Amino acid sequence: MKLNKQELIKALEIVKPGLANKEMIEQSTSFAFMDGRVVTYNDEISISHPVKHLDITGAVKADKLYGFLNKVKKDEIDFEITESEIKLTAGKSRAGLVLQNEIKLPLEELGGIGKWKPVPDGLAEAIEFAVFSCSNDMSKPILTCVHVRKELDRTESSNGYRATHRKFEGALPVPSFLIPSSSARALGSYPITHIARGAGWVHFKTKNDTVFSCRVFADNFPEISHLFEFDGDEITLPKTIGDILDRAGVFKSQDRFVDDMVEVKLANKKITIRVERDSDWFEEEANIRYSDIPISFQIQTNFLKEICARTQKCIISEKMLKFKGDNWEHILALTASE
Amino acid sequence: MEGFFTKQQVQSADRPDGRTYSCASCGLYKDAQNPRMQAFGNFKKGILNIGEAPSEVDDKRGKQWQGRSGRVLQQTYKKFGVDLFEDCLNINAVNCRSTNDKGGDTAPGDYEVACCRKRVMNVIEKRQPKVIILHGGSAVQSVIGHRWKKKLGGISKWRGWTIPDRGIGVWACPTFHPSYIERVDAEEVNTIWHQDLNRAFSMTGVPFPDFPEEGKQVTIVQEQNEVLGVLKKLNQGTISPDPPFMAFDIETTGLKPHDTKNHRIVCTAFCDSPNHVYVVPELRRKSHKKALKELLENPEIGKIAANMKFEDTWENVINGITVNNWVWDTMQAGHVLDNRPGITGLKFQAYVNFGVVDYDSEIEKYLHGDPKNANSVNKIMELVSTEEGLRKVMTYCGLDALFEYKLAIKQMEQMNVTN
Repeated sequence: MKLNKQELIKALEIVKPGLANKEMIEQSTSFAFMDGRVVTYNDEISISHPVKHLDITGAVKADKLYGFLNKVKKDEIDFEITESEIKLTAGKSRAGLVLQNEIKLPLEELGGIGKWKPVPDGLAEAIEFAVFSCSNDMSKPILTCVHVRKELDRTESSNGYRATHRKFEGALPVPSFLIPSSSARALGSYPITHIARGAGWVHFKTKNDTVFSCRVFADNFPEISHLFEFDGDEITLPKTIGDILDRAGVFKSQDRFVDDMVEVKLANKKITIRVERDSDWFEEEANIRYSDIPISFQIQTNFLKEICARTQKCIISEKMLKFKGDNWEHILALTASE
Repeated sequence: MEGFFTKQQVQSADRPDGRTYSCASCGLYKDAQNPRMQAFGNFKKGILNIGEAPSEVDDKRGKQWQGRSGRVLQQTYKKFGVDLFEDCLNINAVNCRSTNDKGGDTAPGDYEVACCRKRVMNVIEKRQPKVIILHGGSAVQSVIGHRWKKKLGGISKWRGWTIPDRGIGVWACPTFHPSYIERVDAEEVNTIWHQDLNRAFSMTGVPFPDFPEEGKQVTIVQEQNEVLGVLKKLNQGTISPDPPFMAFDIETTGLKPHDTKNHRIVCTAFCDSPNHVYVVPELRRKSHKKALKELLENPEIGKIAANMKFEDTWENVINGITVNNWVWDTMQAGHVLDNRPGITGLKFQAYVNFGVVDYDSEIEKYLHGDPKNANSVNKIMELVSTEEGLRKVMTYCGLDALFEYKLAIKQMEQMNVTN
């Protein structure tokens, strides 16, 4: 049978986030073909997508198949299936890949998907937006998740020192759930249209019939609403702050375990960004409309850059800093102040 | 800097270290004849037995306790008038057969137990047993292991306790696995096992205690002006019972106080009743120290502590107080009551007696100094440098004193000591 290479590559790329790095689970580094779909499963995420004109059942090593398809120049690939092999022919190139006829992926783990329901507008964006406040610290597992909260029509996240929430439009048709940030990050690139809750899993479907399933945490996310309720002075950071932070980034640590913090000082209508690393240092001043008591705090460089790309306005109190947009809020506990 | 949440708020019961624990990652199901064996039994007496893993025979028949150790258990239960399959529900810590390289039965590892824990916990939650009998170390690991942050230890440490486990709202009663009884075939072990089972069965008739929320019983006295009043009130004997007892506990900057330039008593808790405790911060005013001296040297008030030589030495070296009328040390009493190693610590005793797990986990890491130097300073000052941190330390100190008091009273009853 002949297949369009680009179409197949596209299908494989859609399911690739469901592959495992190491084959701890049998066939978890393979593409499984069954029922006219290609499926991947890595115990956290499982993705399936329809493949046209490829009527096979079995699993093929993902790196070999994907690698071959990407390297050959012909647009049309001829597939020949034998008992234990897929023979691929593209022009003068031929390859034989082992085909495991029996699908051993533990897809029964997914359980029943249940009834698909339309997702509220902006859900995918709200989930993706909240990811950057999630913790990477596995000793705080709940904080490594995005909380999709039904009662308040919003997503929430926090790493214990900063917190974010963002609204989506309309009601969530399934109970609230906690989706791990790694899954939430992967989900961000899928145009989801429907959602369903299974036992221990949440499933999403796109208009192209991709099904993205990911495990959820069966825990309660701590209440964060009260953290956003504080008064303070509104200040507008200079538009040039992104550029300043770029320059400060030159002095960041090479050690990936060290947080790259910049010190931010607000005093006498000036904002000063300063970073010190080993014996090197960088400092830059800009004008700002702030003449209250001097404040200084430390903040992660990349984080401040990310948030300043969205807004320059913030509210500052003795202990907290708040950035606010149309449908989101972000707060940060100040690490130090004068 | 302290974060927004307590450690408990961000812990996952579902995935304690964030990893996925699933049948897929465990993989035992692939080789089992009866994978994911369902709980079995008519459960008439509300007893849930948790074993280790299905044996070869169990796996073949699709039911628990079908092999030799199952027969031993069945016969022994019968002696107590308990039918293993009529009166009990049965499940294993791991519900697929675990085999070694030669295909024989083998004990599952902690990972397999963790992968199957959700299944076990679901059964506990849905069936709500009166008593859970934990047969062997794997069962203890399954039900207690993920919540017990310290070294779990072997079954010898856990067996025989009837634990009012608040986390699951059930009496948890660990004992030996019947295969061990069968294997060692020793009369004394058999006797201990029978005693454990008898104790466990007797708990079916004991309602689960209605515990108070101890955190609410801790009064933190942070205002220096109020400290004197509290110390005087304690000293003037509104204390019950008769004769009056008072448990007191201190949080300090280290293990040994002799480096007086660097060491401090950060806070002290005084518990004079089973439902109330005061905690005061470091005493700096002369009047406070004088009142403390009067209280601790008052011969009318019997003093209780856990490891009293610690409190005694610190008060002596730091405050120049010779504590008068020590009446009870829960650690020593714990040892007199049961001389197994590793059981006399307050945290273990608080769990096995009052069902509280892990109330110290937020503080514990700050309490360690240089392990090679007993005079070293720990990190507690780092924690108490924030208001929230100080509150945590004082609450923890209060809970220690409260559990010491309750434990002492319970131990006195057990030892038939009233005066």
